Amino acid sequence: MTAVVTTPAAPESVRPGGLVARLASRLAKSVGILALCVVCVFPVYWMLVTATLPTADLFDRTPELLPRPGDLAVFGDLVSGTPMLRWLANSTIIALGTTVISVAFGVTCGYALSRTRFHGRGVLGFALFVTQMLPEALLVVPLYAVFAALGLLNDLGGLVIVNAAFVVPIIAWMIKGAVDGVPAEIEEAARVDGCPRLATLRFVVLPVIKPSVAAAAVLAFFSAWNEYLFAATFATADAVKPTSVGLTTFIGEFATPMNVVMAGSLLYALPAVVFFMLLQRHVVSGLGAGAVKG
Amino acid sequence: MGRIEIRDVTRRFGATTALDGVDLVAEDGEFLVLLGPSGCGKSTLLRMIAGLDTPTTGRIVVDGEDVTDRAPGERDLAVVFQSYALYPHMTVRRNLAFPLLMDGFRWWHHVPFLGSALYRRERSDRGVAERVARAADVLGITELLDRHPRTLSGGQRQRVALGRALVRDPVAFLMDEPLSNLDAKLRAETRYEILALHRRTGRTVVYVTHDQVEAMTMGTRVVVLRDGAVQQQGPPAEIYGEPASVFVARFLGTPPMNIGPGEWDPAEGVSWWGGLLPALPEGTMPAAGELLVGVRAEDLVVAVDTGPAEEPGVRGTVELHEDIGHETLVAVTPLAADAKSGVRRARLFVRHHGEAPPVGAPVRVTVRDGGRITLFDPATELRLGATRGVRIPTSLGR
Repeated sequence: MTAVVTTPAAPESVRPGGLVARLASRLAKSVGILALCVVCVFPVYWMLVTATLPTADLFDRTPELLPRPGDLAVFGDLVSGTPMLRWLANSTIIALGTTVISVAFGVTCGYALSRTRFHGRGVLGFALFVTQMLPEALLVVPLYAVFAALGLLNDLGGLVIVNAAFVVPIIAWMIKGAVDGVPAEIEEAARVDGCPRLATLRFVVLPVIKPSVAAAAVLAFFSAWNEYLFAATFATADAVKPTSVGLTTFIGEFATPMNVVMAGSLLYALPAVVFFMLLQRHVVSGLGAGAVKG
Repeated sequence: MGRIEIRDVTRRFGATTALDGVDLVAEDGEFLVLLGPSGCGKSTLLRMIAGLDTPTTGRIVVDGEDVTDRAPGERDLAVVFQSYALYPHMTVRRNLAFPLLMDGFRWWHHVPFLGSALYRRERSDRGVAERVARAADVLGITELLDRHPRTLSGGQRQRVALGRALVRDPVAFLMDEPLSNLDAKLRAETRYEILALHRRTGRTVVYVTHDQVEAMTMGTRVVVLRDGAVQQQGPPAEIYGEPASVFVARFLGTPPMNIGPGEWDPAEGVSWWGGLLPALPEGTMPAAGELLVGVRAEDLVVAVDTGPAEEPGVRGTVELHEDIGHETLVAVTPLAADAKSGVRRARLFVRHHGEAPPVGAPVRVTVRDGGRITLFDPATELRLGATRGVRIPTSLGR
């Protein structure tokens, strides 16, 4: 059915069924996309519903599909009865720290990879790439040994370092690609205008590749915010647990308070959404702004 | 002041030599054009003057000071790039002010959120604001000051790029094919604008182009480069009239100079494509013998062939006309070229006024009275001398 429709430029006059077929195809596509959206969104919605239900109702034979916005007591319990706020603060520190460090290193590294010629440039680029091939689980044990020796276990700084180590290579490659797209002549113009190298990066190149930098920041933030494996291994003390690890402590041996877990998850998701919305504007705004020629 | 000396500059990129021992001087206030085909090293040379590239050997001297090891920003030279190279995220005003604002750059401008302080002087500093306003006024871009480069047309961008160079009041302007991205009409207009700028500022201009029309019309002196070496330098008229080599003769002029194998005999003149061009020697001339003979299209005349074969002139057939209004360019294939196949450039271009012989007509091409004939050494392709054509008595050969 769709094969007929996807052949382009079939004139309607020649094929009277063309219009109907096209509408049908469009409808089919819309329904398909909608179905995918539901699959994506439903767990989030279910989280919202579950968070507002008392535990007793959770295991009813007929699940409830509507949240009860009136019943928000669980959030109060969460804040007063658990270290939830502490965990959120830890997550924030780790995520922001990772973002700042990996953007700073990733941008300078990517810029150097794109614009300068030095011995070992190819090797460095390849080495950055290789780090992405190794599964994290493979590195947990050796890193644990290193961190234990350095006294970085149960330390927020240690988690920032390990997260940044995994994100910097990706950002460096992203930024290299973006800088490759910036005409070298505008940097030369800046040099002639008396702009030092680092200032050229700061005032000429960075504003032009701002969308890529914003995307890199989003990437770094989420990677650190969502990270679980290293946090669970390296942060065993309650005081340094991030939310991802903290939430799992709710899962008890005999009972798991699902509504508390879901309410915690909701609080866990919220700051990330806010961070993304703050930066999303920059990611999109630059899409058409990079044009120099034309 | 703005005297730029290039002293024995060589630039190698790996195994290839882009510039080979170039010596050149741009005098103060001069409009020096570096002309040559792509890959001749002209842009490399300009970049080295600007400091964007470093010579492998040799020195760059500006006003008696060796600037070879100085950063581009410390040379007090302005560059206009082919692609304009405007800062896309800045307004026109900020683009113009940028070189002035960089004087006030401090390390703490790198700190996030403090960087915008760099741009504060754009409006608050009266000197900066005035200089930007003056440059914008000169180039007629005052109403564009608050727009971004992406909203401007090619010609407007080009003027902003000129403005950014102008605003600094540098000792010299370096321009790298600044007109090649413009359409033909705009190119002619901007050409005058650049000339007016040169006259107004009186600064040295070093101008790179591959377009011989730009070189001829703009330069006070033209330097023809080929394969990283200077072929010839001098005023445009001299380069056009007395090309130092076959390369220069063919590179300048539309159509290029007609050059073909011939023979020089001081007693009779020049024989060319099997026909005789009576000529008088001018200055010191080479000994008689075979050589390459070149005549500009405007020094040739063409007429329908009526006389006997031994009459002077190159016999040929009209191949095509190019009518450009006030004159017609007549392309003639010499009969001799038909006979010896494989002879290169077997086509003579003649500038003709009035009604031209029709296509396919048998014609005779001669040098007009006083027209210049240039002789080249067939081995080295360097110029040997020149001679003037003389009027052919109508009785000759009859």
